[in-house]
Amino acid sequence: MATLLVVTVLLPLLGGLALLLAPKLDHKAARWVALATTLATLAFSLVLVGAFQVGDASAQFAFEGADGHAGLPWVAVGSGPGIRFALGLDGVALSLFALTSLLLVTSVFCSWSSITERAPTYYALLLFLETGLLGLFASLDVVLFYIFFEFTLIPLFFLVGLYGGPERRRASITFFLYTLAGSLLTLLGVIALIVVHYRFSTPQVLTFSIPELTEGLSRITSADWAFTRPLADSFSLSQFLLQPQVFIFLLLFAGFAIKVPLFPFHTWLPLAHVEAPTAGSVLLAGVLLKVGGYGFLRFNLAMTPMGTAVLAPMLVAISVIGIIYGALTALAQTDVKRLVAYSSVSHMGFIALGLFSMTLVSVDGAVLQMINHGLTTGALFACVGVLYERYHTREMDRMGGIWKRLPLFAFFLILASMGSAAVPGLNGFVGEFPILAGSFSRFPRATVVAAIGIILGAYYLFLMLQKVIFGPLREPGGEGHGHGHDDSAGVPPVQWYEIAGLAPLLALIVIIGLYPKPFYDRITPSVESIVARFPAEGAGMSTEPNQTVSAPGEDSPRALLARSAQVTAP
Amino acid sequence: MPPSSPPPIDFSQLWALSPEILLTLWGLVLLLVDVGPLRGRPGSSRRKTVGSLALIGPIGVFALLLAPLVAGPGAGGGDPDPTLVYGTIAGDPLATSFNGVIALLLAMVIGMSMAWDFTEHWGAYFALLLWAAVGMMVLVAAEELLILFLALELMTICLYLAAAFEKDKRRSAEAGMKYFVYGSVASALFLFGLSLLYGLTGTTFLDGIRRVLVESAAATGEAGGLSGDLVGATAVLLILVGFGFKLAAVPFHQWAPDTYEGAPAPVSAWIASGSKLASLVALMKVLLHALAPWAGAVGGEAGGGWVLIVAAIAAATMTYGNLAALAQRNLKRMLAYSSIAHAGYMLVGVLAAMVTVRSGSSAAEAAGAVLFYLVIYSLTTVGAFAAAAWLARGLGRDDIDDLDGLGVRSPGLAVCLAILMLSLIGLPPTAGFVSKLAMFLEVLNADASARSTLLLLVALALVNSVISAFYYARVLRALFLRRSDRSPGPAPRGVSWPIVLAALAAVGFGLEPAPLVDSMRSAASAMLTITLPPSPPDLPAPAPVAAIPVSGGMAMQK
Repeated sequence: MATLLVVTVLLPLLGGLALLLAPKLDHKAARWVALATTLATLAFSLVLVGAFQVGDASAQFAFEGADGHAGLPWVAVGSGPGIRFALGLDGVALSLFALTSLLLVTSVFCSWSSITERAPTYYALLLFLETGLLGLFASLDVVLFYIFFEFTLIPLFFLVGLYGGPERRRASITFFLYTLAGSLLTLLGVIALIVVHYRFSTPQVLTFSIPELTEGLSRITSADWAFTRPLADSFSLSQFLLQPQVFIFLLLFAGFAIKVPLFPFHTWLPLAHVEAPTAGSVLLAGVLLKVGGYGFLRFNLAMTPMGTAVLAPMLVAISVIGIIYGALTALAQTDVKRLVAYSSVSHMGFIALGLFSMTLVSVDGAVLQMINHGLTTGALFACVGVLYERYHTREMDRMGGIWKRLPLFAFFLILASMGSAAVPGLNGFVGEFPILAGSFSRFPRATVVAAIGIILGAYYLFLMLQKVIFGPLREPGGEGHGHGHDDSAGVPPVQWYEIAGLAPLLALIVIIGLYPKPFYDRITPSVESIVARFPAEGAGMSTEPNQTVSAPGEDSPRALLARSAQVTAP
Repeated sequence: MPPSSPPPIDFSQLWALSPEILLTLWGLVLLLVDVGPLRGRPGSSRRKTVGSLALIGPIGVFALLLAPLVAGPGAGGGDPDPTLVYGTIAGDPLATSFNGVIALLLAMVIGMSMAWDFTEHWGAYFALLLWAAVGMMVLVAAEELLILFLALELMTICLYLAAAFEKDKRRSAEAGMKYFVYGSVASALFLFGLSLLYGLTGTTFLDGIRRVLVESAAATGEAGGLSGDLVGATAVLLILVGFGFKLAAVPFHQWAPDTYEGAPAPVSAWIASGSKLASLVALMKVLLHALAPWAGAVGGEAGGGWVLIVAAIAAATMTYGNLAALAQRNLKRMLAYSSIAHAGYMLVGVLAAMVTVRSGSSAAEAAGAVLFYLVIYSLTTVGAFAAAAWLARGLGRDDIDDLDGLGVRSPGLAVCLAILMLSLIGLPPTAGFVSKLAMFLEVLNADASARSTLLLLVALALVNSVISAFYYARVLRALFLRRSDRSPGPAPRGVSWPIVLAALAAVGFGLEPAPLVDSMRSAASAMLTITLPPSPPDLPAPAPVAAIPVSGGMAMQK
């Protein structure tokens, strides 16, 4: 299985290289090659999902090296295990891994007819992106993680910059530089984590392994690291910020918050999402944003839990502002794609709220919601792409009653919107409800405000449905292009590849909504192992250093979490 | 020096100097060929003939370097003392491996030079390139201050002339003139610094200087550092002026942008890569080995030393280089500022190598990381300058905007150039990332008192990498996102293979850095552990006795 994981990660890379080496291929052949590669990758990742041991929190499918460390040695650093090519999946990573391989199939279908020029390069870039994303979720080594993390930028830069809309140059450069700026700060944070671990761990080990770092950092008892004072108890802001956990948290936060994106760091998102080709938007919203959430969980929450705890009130406030701001901005859009893009800001706010509330229930919900958001937003962007290919506009004011022209498409769009709007019975509900329920036990006021975001979400999505789907048929017939309004008979029905791309997402939207248990079963143990390192509720406020980190095994994680996650009136 | 009778030179030692000797002689041959058999032929045909002949030089160096491997062990090595010619020149793995790197860079530069006609005097031009390479090779191997200075001058004088070789362009003459004026002043100051150092220690051997300094520090019972030692501090500052000029470190960088922009692209590439590479190795030898006792502490009040000065220079260099590069429109000028910025990063690495707490076999790993960075930087920079040569050939100018649309016209080379830019930013999976990471990770092993300062510098370096992304991305944008109706035409072979080779190195060493990292580590450990033979009486050994009255005089001055 360890081999299969490596093969799954590298298969798209090989497919992409094959496409690059055959640039004379026409777009028809290229798309079949890309489809075959993504389907094979999806099949392999489904095998991995099947082979995954439910209930085991540790990383599975990891290759055990001869020296007892996971993975193959890659670059020796000092006397320790060094930087290693170590891959493995725990429950959280597995879910996102599978989501990525599924959305890649969708994005190939999204590009099926729209990309005709320089198609081999385009599909090669998509496949490179897939390798980057799969490798990122499967990395068990911080440097490897970072390499894949940065590597995703390069194909996306070209996907947006070469195949995007009219503003593509500005969008790709903005996206590239914005993300790069944040991620270099993250690199500094990662280096700082390694330094801290190296300095305080006994015996001194220089390790780059994510599980070892997580474990080692939580065992450090030095007061400098383990004890973090909340802002209220600090003498000054700078004293608060210079505490190791807070400072490193903020460094790590810089890159991931831009990826997510959290409220003040979201400005690159609408531009990039709108200008990207459909497949690019699907992947940006579906997977790339999850990278930020995954990073929060893997690094910020797991490795600097005390820093997260003391910063949580501010982080929750930012998340809630993002929820409301994103929803209100989405409400004001007339362009469908922009609307979906801003809805992402709002929904990712929910995920951040769930993560930073630091209860098992809310973090669990946030992880599931990452999957859900990937599915629903991926489907929404794909629907927008379907629409755009037929009418070459995304202005809601210029269309209406599409139901009459494309009933199947209307069904897809309604289902995806309802999933996104967290209608009970669909996936958004089973993700957002635990987030709100878990957060309420810690931050009741913020949660109440956030709940308004759900209402607003339903508002803008249904408003969009009302304009686009219902009402009298109004098609943008290309006034001024010489086409009459009767020409709309030329609008082709929904094609097989569009159905093939959307159907699995919609099926999963319904399945997760009706029966989320298998998904939670895989996610929860891994989340539990992270949540178990959180300080007990209120410990952040305490001045007793020895209360800060619950020793593993002392208090069963489940018991600890059940307590903090109880929904009680404050 | 005591007038003892030195033993006659062991001519078998000359084998270790064969690359230098070969290139020197071959330069003469090129000159003669150009004025002899090729006399009267048109410039472009002489360019091709002499250029192809010149390529034999670096190829011969490779052959000489590989010969011991083919002949098996014992043919060239096996000597426990790695120094040659009375201990003035090292024949260690450092010199061998960097001879190879310099020969490779030289081959790339010669290839670029053959791209277009910018001069008539091809024999002299290629001979100067070769002789500059000789200077670099000796500089890397120098173990003695006079040899070091002579090698430095040999290298720079050849480059002064080469920079002014595009005679029909006034910018080229300006480039050579500026380089010369700044360079000669810096050399004079450098020499003055060396003379002070000789006066203080009574020896010109790097290892001898180290011994004297260690002994005098032990005698006075002071911790290392320069506090109160006015003459010593002056010597260090003057030496740093000299090296700072060669590395184009702020504030001795003013010549670099004008020279890089005005000089023909191959010469700029040669100044940015080979000259910088050799000077940084020499700087590391002098600072990390000879002057290590003067390093001083980074934190705390106890004894400042050159570490603090270098830290300040590094911070200023990378910040200024990157900020100034943001405003550039000309490709070569942008690369000049980028090379200034990279010098700053490398100085951070030098600092990390100084304050490292590693000991034993891994002691040199920090310095090895700097050497690794240096090699990767040199290769990628030469590749990037090859693009400038391409533009200069096709369009007669080399602005970044002239790269517009190359992504469509020559996708292969454009992708290679993009890889080079990503490597210069330091983005994975290129070697630029690995080398930056390896160098910056050395913070881990820094002395506890220096760690916070170093972390600060590394943070500054990373912020600077972000800034650098802005101007490197401009090249990417020009290549792929813009269209243009002016094209430099297809790239000649001399331009395309350096670009492809550099890109391959950037990707290859990014994915599999281990071989180069290991060889650089062993080179660094050879560099830092080199010691003079335990001074047999017949060697013109340094006279450590001389140091005691001098440092006594110092004490009185205090």
